[in-house]
Amino acid sequence: MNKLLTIAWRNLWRNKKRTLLTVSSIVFAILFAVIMRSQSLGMYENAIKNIINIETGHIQSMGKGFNESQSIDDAFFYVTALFSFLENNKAIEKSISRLSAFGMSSTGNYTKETFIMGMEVAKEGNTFARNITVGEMITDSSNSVLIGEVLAHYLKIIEYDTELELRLPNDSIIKKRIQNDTSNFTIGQTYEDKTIVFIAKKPRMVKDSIIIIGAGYQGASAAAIYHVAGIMKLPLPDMNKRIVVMNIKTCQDFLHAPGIISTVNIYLNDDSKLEQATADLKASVDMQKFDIYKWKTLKEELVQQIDSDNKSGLIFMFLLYLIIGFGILGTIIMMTHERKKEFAVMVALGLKKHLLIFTVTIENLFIALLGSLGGILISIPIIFYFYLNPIRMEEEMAKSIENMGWEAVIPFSTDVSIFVSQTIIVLILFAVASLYPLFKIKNFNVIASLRG
Amino acid sequence: MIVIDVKNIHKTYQGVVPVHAVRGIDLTVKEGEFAAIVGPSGSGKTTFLNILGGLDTPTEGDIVVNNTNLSSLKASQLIDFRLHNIGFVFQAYNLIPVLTAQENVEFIMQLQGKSKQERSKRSVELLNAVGLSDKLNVRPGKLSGGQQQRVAVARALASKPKFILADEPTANLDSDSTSNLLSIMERLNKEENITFIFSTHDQRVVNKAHRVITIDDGKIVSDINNL
Repeated sequence: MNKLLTIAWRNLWRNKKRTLLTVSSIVFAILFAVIMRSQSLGMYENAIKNIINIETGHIQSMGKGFNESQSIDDAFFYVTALFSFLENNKAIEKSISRLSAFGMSSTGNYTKETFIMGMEVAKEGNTFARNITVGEMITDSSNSVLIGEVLAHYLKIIEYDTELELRLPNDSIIKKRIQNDTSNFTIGQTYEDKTIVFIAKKPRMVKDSIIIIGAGYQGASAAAIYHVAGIMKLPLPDMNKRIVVMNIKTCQDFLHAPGIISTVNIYLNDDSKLEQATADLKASVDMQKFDIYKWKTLKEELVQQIDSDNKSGLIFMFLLYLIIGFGILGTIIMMTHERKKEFAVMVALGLKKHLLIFTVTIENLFIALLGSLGGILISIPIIFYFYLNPIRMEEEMAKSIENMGWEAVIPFSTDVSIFVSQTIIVLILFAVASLYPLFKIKNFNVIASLRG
Repeated sequence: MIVIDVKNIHKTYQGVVPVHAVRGIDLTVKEGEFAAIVGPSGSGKTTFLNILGGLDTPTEGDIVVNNTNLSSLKASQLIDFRLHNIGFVFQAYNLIPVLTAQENVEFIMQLQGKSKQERSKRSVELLNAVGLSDKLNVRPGKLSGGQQQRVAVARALASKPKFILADEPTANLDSDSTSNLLSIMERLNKEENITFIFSTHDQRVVNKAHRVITIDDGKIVSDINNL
């Protein structure tokens, strides 16, 4: 057995170029597949994470009929039974109450439909704070609001400046901010005798208040003027066009709905517990009074988008692997024919065919493993680099992605299953391609093969 | 002691026109013989040699080697039989290119399940016997044709076979290598009583053979004691 392994290993290096070519084709197949898969899954994970964190939670509990009507009249009072369940279930990391309603916001001559959201600021943690581009975060006691950047721009609350990074002759970099700039700069262009190396648009607040009008609880009219504390650029482009955020107490006061909440977002400590936690929650509350939804149900469109994009990605990968698979098969067929006589000699000398098949299989396995290992080792640093430094899309590409409702960024996924699944696919491809020599050896005629 | 007993074997290749490669050969080979099979191209000697070596099966007739009728063996049993009873020397040497000279010789013994110690001892002895004690760790690609054929002879002897079949063993060798190889085979035959049967076109080989069997048109046309 040892000698057969030795033969298999040394055979790899008999025709170094061919082996390296075959190994390289596997390395590149895995590299491309892992990168493609990692960026697709990364985008899906990011889109799901954003939706869960900002909008729905893993599970959302709401008053009966609220999801369909979106009317504050279908919101509910704080219920001890529900919150006691949320406090005591170990699968639940945290739960946050929100109150939301639709209204209009206005500054000067500009008015826009608005999604008003009241939240428990401290319990939300960093979810909104980290997306503030100008100004500061609100608190549970302040009467200020945060506004989505696109809405703020529409209402002329902000203007955009151009920030340039300029390279000096001594290679150091300085930043230059140009207010209300309308010229189109390009990277590499000279500005004030310095080379532009980076261009960014930066919002600047030019107004600090906003009027919000809406329908309050049980027919009350709601209208108030609020101080704008900050502008947010949330990773949900649709939200940026219409969101105004305030603390829940301010929101309840605005809507004349003291003690009322519309939704409770429930966050789990493990995604895989979604089904069980939903079932447990449904079993513990009065379903005549509440609706319980999983994020997947609330965001069916996103699930379908991901599913459809995933399928196209898989078809592309299938084609990639088909090409690589035929390449591998071609190499194996060539190798088998080149060595037909050698195989015949070994069988003539007394090597049983199953042992010869074992040797050839091991040889192919060595190639597959070398290729897989190489592919994974090369892809790991690349994937981790893009995981830590996600690709941010600019201009038209960014717009087209944001039009789909996704953040214009490609964060790579580091999920181990990507590496494992790609390796398994390559091993399966090799196993299938290896059937050819096995079939040939099993059925070859020793005499004919000895003649060469 | 009779090593090979061939009884009226025929071999016909079926096709649009059937080809009768062997047409009723009877032959007995005793232990220690040094026999050459000669004949023109297409006479059927290679087919006959393949049948003797258990690589091909006769259409009709029996071939008994060391009391075993090869016709009764299945393909996998034939492989096992060859491993323990027959040594092969091919015209093109056919050593395993990725193994050294010593590993090539050991390979057969390893298939037989011999211990590492025994394999190592015998391979060194055999390579020494064919004059290649200084080439143990050299791979075939770095050996001359004559040296490769001597390794092939050592490999054929490694399994302690009942006889060695050599198909045109000197066809690719120059005259020095041919006479060197012949003297080695002759010595092994004389000193260790090893049975050699070889097909050849080479008159130098024929001259050294103790028995010359001539095949033509699938039949033995002469069987001469050449001593």
